[in-house]
Amino acid sequence: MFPTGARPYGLRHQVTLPPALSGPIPGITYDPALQQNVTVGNGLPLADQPALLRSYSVTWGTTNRDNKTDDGG
Amino acid sequence: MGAVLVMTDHDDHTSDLIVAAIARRGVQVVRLDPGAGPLWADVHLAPSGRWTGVVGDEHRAVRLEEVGSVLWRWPGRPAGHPAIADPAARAWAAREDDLGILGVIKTLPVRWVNHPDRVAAAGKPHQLTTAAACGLVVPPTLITTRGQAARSWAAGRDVLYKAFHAQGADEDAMVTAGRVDAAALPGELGAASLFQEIVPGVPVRLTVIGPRMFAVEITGSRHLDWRPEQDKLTFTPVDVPEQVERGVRRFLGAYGLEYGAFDFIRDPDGRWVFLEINPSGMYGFVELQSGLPITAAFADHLCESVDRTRP
Repeated sequence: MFPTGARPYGLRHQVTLPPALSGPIPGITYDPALQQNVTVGNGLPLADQPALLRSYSVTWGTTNRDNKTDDGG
Repeated sequence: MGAVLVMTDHDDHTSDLIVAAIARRGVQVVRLDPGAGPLWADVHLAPSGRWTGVVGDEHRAVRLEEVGSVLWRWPGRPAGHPAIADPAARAWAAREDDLGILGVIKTLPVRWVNHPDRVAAAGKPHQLTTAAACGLVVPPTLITTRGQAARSWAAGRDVLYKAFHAQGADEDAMVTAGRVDAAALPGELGAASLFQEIVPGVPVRLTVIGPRMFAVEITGSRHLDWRPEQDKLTFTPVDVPEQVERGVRRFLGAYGLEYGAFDFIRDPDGRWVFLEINPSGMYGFVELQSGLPITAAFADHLCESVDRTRP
């Protein structure tokens, strides 16, 4: 019998992700006119900033979303 | 050439790359997120049996009959019109929007990357049976809720545990694939748990979009699961063996998927062992690190004019 109050075994394999993997990119906002995220202030599209994309893998590998399949966001 | 409808949330920065590439081609692209605010719709069922009319948000709209392809990644769930004060009424409205507006969009007889119904069909256990049926090599696998069963199965094997969904119980956490100490397994696991024999070798990420395949070997990880330490990794493009390509094509065809991010292990004998596919998986990290033109392939595939009678 599974003990009351216990946590599932699988959560022993849970790791906390660093902000660069899971956190938002500072200074970025969605521009509805451009339909892309841009840098606040100069309006430069995130898609044109590969160095920033690399720095925050939320943009290039959002790890906790990689397996996101059927839960609609 | 039809318009490209992109259904995803604002934080999906990978879609920024695709939207920018489509816009550069001069093709109309409309990005909608039902979770960011209410969509509006005015559509009717044409004699042809196709829903026609307009769907949009406060910024833009698209005529459904002009849509040539849909990129469906991570649209937020409708939340109901913000002017509806009663939470129960708003939740009801949100469900109606979901079933009505998103329900209409899901019927579009166009190219889908990927249709959510096809994605939903590709659950992890189903993927393994399909992969085997398609001639791909799959590792010995156990799914159980009983620790004793896992201990017995793991005897004499090097085994890992892997969650069906990588998102952890906490917001900024993921459940990684990790080596199992069989002796430490509890009697009851508290949830369906997947155990797999560890395949020694090199991880391979294979990104497929339409006719194009982009494979990279991943080195530099200190752990079985490379995902939490992507900044330490090296992605080296490799060719896809013909037998694997055939199996992958059959696999995607079985589900009707146009895109997939596959994980394999290339074992010491050169065999590619199938681990899983992420039908909505990220690819930007592969492109930025390897230089492979995946975004361009996405844009090419979505911008092709396709005429279909069924989604």
